[in-house]
Amino acid sequence: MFSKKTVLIFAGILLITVNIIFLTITIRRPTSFGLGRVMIAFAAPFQDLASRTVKGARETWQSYFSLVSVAEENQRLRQLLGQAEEGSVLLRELDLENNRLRDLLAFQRSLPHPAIAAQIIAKDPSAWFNTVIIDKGAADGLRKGLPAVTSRGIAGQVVDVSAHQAKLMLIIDRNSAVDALVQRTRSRGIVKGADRDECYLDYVMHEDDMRVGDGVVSSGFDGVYPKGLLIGTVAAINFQGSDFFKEVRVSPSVDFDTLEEVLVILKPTPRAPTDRK
Amino acid sequence: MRFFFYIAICLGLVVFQTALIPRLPAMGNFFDLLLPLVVYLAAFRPLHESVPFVVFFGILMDTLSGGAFGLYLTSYVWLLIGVRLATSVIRADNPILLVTLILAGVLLQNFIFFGALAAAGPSLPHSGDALRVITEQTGWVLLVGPFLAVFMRHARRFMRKRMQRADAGQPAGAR
Repeated sequence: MFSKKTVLIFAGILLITVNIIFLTITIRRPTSFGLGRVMIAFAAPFQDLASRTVKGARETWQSYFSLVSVAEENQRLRQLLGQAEEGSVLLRELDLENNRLRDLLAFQRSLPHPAIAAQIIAKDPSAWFNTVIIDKGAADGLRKGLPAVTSRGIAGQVVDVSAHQAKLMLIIDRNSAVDALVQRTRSRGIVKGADRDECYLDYVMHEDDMRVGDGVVSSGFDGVYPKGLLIGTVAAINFQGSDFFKEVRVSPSVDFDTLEEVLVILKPTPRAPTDRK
Repeated sequence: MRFFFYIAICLGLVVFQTALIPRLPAMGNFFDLLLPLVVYLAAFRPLHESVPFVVFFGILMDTLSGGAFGLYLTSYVWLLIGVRLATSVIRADNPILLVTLILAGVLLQNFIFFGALAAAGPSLPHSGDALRVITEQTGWVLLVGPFLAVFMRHARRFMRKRMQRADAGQPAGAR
């Protein structure tokens, strides 16, 4: 009766019309016709799973980045802490150095000659000798034979000089000798180096009065060290009746293990310096 | 190049020995660190290469030390001679021999220093102090020596390979 083409056209127009009517009704009165609940019940678990997965992934991702940033911050704070600690140590060192230099400065003012402060930069490579290298040399006015002291007493004398460094023989070196007096009795002797920690006061007559604890000072007769500088204190006295001299052990007033700075006295007594090396 | 290499090592060791070790109380009586270098040069390098450096090391150390000039030089030169003689009989590659040679160097050096102090006249160190110094240095050699010996062997192989590569890279006529 109708051609196939006519049927298709008719069905198309009908479908469009029904669709428009359906939409018109649903727009005006929203409803799912009972299907909504079923479909939601069906889809929701998957949505939930997907949602949780994505959320979890996002949180993990964010936490990771957060952790990374926290780790970075932690590292940065550690660095800051390290720097602060380093600064604190440096400040403490500066404070200690400042105190030592203040002592030296106060001591320098009491010296009869100008003096220059020098820092110890190296020690003797051998265990048998006691010399140090200081950071002042001929360019600073140093020359052989100049005495070096600290606020606590005599340290040694310059035995070798380069342009900007000098070698200092400490009074505890076995080659060192200082003309000395016992402060209380004015007994005279020669302080000779013996070890890292001690010296000996040689040529003290057996009849000389001397006690443990007596101060030993430079006599000034050796032409190197100014008179009256402290060398150390008498630590022990050995004497046997037949001996002509007393054996006197002297504990130096300077702690050579911790010695870091010295004052080199630039104009000692006018006599020619002695090179004892 | 080799010249700068040995000088740099020497300076590094000297700085370590004179400026760093004294600040470490536990290492107060460490042995002379240039002795292993002298042993290495004497054992593994030709004489014309080792002698100038050993002499240089000796002079450098003598200028830094408070002892009579020439003490270090003497100890290094005698150690050089001793090591050359020893390695002409025994293979120098043996780690035990290397440690023994370093130990011999330490003892020889202390013997020379002690002898110089005795000859110079001033009061000799107490035997107890001398024994303590030598014992501590010996202890350090026994502790550190094996590592130094292994390091020396590696250094020797490394140097030998480098020289072989350098020889291989040169034109035949230049050899």
